[in-house]
Amino acid sequence: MKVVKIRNKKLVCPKIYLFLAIFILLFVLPLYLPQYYIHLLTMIFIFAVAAEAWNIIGGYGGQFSLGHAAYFGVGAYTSTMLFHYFNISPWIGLLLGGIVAVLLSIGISHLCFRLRGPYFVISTIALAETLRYLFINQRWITFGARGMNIRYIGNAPLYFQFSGKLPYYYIALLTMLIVVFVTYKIINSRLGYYLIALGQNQDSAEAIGVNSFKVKLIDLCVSAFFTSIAGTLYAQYIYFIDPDAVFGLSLSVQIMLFAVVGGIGTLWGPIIGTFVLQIASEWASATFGSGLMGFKFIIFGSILIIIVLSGKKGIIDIFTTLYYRLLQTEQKQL
Amino acid sequence: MNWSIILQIIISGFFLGGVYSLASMGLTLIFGVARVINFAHGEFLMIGMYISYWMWKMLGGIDPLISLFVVIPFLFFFGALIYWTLFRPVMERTDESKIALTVGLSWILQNLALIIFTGNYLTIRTSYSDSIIQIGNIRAGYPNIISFISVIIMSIGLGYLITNTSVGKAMRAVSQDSEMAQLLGIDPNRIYTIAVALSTAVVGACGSIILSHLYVFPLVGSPYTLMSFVVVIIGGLGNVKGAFICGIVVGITEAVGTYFISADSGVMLAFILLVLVLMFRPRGLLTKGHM
Amino acid sequence: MAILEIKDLTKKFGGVLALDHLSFDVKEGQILGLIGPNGAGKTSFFNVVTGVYAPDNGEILFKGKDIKSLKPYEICQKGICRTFQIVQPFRAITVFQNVMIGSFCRTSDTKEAKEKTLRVLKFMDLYQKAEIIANDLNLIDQLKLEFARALATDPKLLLLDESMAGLNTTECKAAEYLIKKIRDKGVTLVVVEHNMRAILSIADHIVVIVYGSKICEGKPQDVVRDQKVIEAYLGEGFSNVALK
Repeated sequence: MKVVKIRNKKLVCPKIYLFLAIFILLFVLPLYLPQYYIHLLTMIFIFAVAAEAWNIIGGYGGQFSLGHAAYFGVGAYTSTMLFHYFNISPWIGLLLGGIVAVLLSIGISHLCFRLRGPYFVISTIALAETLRYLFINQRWITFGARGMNIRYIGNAPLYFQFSGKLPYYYIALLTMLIVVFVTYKIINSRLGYYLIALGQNQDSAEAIGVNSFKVKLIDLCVSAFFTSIAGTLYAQYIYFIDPDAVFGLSLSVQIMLFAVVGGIGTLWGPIIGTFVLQIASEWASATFGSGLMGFKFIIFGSILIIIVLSGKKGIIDIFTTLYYRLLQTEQKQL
Repeated sequence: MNWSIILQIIISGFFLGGVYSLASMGLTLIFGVARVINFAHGEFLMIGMYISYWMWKMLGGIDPLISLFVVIPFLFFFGALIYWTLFRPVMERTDESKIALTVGLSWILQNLALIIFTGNYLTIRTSYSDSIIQIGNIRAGYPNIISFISVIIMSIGLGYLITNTSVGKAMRAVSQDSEMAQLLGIDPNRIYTIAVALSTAVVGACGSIILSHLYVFPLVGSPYTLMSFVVVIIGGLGNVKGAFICGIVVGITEAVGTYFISADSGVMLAFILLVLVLMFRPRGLLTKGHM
Repeated sequence: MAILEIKDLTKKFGGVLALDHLSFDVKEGQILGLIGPNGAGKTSFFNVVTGVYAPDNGEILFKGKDIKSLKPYEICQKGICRTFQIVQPFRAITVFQNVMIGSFCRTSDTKEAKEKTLRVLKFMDLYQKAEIIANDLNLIDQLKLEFARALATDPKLLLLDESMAGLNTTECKAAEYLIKKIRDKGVTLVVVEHNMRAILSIADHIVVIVYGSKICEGKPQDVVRDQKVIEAYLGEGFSNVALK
C-alpha cells in the first residue's frame, strides 16, 4: 500500500468510508435522540467549528494563538448588538461579524506577525484581554459584565431563532462540515503548500517566491472569519453572552486545547479533539457532580500534558501510529 | 495635580512593581536558562501563598515572612520535581509544546487548589495589618512596606547569586550557549533543574510576601503569570536586570492607570505598553538578549 | 546583453566591509563563476542581490530594472532564484511537495503546478524518487532537489551557492553536467564554487572577489594566470608561478 505521510495528509482509503458512515449517522441520529444529547452534540459542533478554524492558523499556519476568543467574541457581540439595537437579522449579523473579525485579524497581523514564539503568543493574549476589558467597561453599549440577552421572539427562522433544538443542531453540523471542507481546500491549494513551506523553513520559502506575510495574513483572516461564525452560533443558541464567556482567556485556551489534543495540523484532529474532550467533561460532571467543579479542568489539563509528553501530534497521530503498527505497513517508501 | 498625589502613585507603583520584579526575575530565569515558557508560573505563587496561609492558621499566627523558611525549600524541591517529571522530556521540543504543557499544568494546579481549598477568598491578619505610616499627605501601609523591603532584599540576593556564584555563572553560560557550556563540563540537566527550582522558589516566596495584604484564592496566580510575561517581554526575555527594572516600570504604569482611569484599567495600560513595545522594539526595551 | 548589472555595490555589516564597490555584468545565457577565498563576500553578494539585505550603496539592475529594494519573494517572482550554501530542502515533506512550492511561483492552480513539478522532476532525473521524504535523500539527490525546486520557479537567472560542497569527483561531474543542462534550457547562471577544476570546466566567464572587491575578471584560462589572483590564493611567494 503506497502511503504518503506528511504533516497533514493521509491517503489511506478505509478512513473515508468510516467518516461517511459517521456522518450519515450524525444526520439521522438526532431524530431519535433525547434532547440532552442533541444539546450536547450541538455544543460540540459549535466548539468544533472554532477549534477547526483555530487549526487553520494555529496548526497549519504555525502561529500558536492564545487569543482566538477575540474573534469568537467579535462574532457573538456583533450579531447580538446589531439585533438588539437595530433589529438586524442575526443571519446578516453572522456575515458582518465575520467581516469585522477579518478586519480585526488584518490589524492583528500587522502588529503581531513579526513576532516569534512566546512574544507572539503573549501578544495574542494581550489583544484578546484588551477586547474583553473594553466590552466589560463600555457598559453603555455592551451592558458590561452583566452580559447581553438575545431577545426571544419565538419561532423566526429569518431571525435565526427556532422553536426546537433540531434546526440549531443541523446548522451547527453543517457549519462544522463547511469549515472542514474549507480547510481541506486550503491544504490542497497553493496557500496550503506555502503554509507548509513557511512552517518548515521561512527563509528558504521566501527565496522561492513565498510572500510569508501575505500567506499568514490570508490564513489568519480565514481562521478569524470562521471563529467569529462560531461565536454568532453560540450567541444564537445560548441566548446569552457576556465578555468573560466569549472573550475570556479560558475560551481561547480551550479552543487550542481541542485542536492540540485531537491533532494539531491535521484535517479532522480538532473535530475529534472537541468530541473527546467535551464528552469527557460531560462524563466528569455527571460522575462527580457539581461538587467538584474543577474536575473538568483537571482532566483537560492532564490530557493535554499526556498528549504533549507523548510526542505525538494528538489523538489522530496516536491512532495512526497504532493503525500502521497493527497492519505492519511501511509508512514511508524508500 | 500636586506632588503628594504623584508621589503616592509612584509609591503604589513601587509596591506593585516590586512583586512583579521578583516574580518576573524568576520567569526570565527559567526562560533564559532553560528556555521554558512557563504558563504555570503564577500557580507557584499561589502555592507559596496557600502554604503561608495554612501555616499562619495552624501554627498560631506565624508571620508569612517566617513561613518563607518552609515555602522556599518546599517550592524549590517541588520545582525540581516538576522539571524532572514534566519538563525534561520536552526540553528539545518546540516552544509551543512547552506552552501547551505548562498551560495544562496551570489548569491542574489551579483546580486542585479549588478542590482542596475551595474558592473562598482567604486572608490573614498580623499585628501590623492596620498600621500605616503617614508623611504629609502620603500614606503607606506597613504590610506593603515590609513586602516591598522583602522583595527588594530577595531580588538583590537573586541578582547576587546569578552574578557572583559559580552556579549563577554556570546558568549564564548555559543561557548563552548551552552546547559550549556542556563542552566545558557543565551538566545542562543540573543547571536546568536549578534554574526551574530557583524560579518556582522565588515566585512562591512572592506569594508568601504578598499574603500580608492580599487575599489568597485558587486563581490568584493568573494575573501574576500574565504580568510577569508582560514585564519579561518588555524587559527582554532572559534579561534579569531588565526584568527587575521593568517590573517597577510596569507597576508604576498600572498604578497610574488605576488612579486616573479605573481599577482594572491599570492592567490594560500595562498591556498597551506591551503592545507599544512590541511594535517599536520587539526585542524588549533593555535588551541584551542574555542575562 | 547583460541580464544582471552590478554597479558599485557596497555593503557593511557593523565594522566589516563585505562588499566593496563591486561592479560587473552578467551576460544572458552565460555561466559566470564567482570565486574568491573564504569570507570574500560571495554569499553576502547573493544575499544582497536576492533582497535578504539591502545594500548601503550601489545599483543592482536586472534586465535593466532596479531591484535593490525588493524583498526576496519579489525577486524570485521577477525571475532570480538562488540555492543555499548548506542545502535547505523542506525536510519533513516529499520531493514532489518540495518542488510544488517552487512550481506555485508561476501559477496558483494546483493541477498546473503538479504538471510542471512532474516535468521538472523528470528533467532533473528525480522522478523515481518523487515520494521520498526530503530528509531521507542522500546529498547529491538533495542537491538535485534544490536545483529542481529553483527551476520550478522558471528563473531567468539562477544563483548557485557552493552547490558542490561535499561532493566527490563523480558527483561533481554529475553536478557540472546538470548545471550545463540548465544553462542549455536558457537559464543564466552565477555559480559560486571553491572547486577550481569544476569552475574552470563549466564557467564561460569568471569574476574573482577578495575582501569584497573584484580583483580580476575574464575568461577562466586568463584569470588563473593573473598575478593578483595567484597572490590572493597562494600568497605572494607564488606570484611568479605560471599555471598551465
